[in-house]
Amino acid sequence: MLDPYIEAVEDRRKRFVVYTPGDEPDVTDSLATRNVTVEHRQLPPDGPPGFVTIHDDGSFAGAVGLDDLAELLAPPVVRPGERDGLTDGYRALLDVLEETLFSSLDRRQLLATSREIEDRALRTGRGTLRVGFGSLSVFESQLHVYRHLAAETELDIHVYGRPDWSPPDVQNTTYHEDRNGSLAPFWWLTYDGGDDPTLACVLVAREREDGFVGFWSYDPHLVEAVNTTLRAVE
Amino acid sequence: MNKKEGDPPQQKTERDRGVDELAGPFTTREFYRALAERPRRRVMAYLLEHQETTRAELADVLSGWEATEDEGTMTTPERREEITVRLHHVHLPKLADAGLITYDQADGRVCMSELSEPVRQHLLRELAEV
Repeated sequence: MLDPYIEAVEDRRKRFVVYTPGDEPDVTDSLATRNVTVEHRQLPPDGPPGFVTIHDDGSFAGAVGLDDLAELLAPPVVRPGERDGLTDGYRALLDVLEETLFSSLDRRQLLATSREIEDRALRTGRGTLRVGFGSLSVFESQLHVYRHLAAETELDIHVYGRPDWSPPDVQNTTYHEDRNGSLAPFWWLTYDGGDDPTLACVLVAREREDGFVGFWSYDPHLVEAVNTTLRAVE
Repeated sequence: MNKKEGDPPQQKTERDRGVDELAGPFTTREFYRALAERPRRRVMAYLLEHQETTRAELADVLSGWEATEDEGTMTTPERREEITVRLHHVHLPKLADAGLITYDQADGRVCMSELSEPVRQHLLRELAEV
């Protein structure tokens, strides 16, 4: 059900050109977990330390030193609300990187990104948070987290999963029974930011043989599009 | 330190002798003028490694090189556009005038000229600081 969103990000493939004075550096390995084309070019021996240029859809998106790139690539990424100290350019590059598809992320990294979205909803305290658990029985282990979220905020919380368990009533929380399992293959969360669309965010991932493939984004339009799809599940 | 443009050495020194001995289009004045600005030295340093490239790739390289000079900064698309314009109108024509490169303004291709060994040695010395 959410595959078209993953495919759309997959189609906007980014190109990274890594420039270093020596052999191909380790960073190309960490980029290999993302859906990006990586090229390596040699720099003169007395030249600068390594850097990378990033090209999105054929146009130059930015250039950063390799040290900075490592920080930029670590999920979860810097929250938009905490980007005030960054230059416009840096922020634009983060936007590009966030909508980069990743592959072979493990559960720990997905969990960290999920926590990041739940945290933001908690801090904002308003708006709609939707989250999918494959099967509702999986939600049982997260019940304490969501009870806390519901108690501390005015969030409208929607939990999706196959109906293999009857969760207890939690205030402001609606359960959606994904009877035909169309959402079951995905690990996903959306938060609409309440009345501040700049706080909206979405994570969509699907498990494949070698780990999860998916993306996260802070684009409010994309969040809205995914939410529209989700509304089809009662 | 960035050298000032149009400020070739007043006094001939030991290191100039090789340049004066050059045949062909090279003169001391043009040679040093061509290498007076940092972006042009960087272009030559990159060409020594690759011999042939494009204006677009040189703009990428100069952009990335700048980004390494301050931690936590990036070079924006706007800045790269400025770099491209300067390359096209100033730096590449100057290097071409000095006979160090050929620059095809239409397709953006940049090739390093065949350099005699003395010129190459001079170039390497000038590029010690890029």
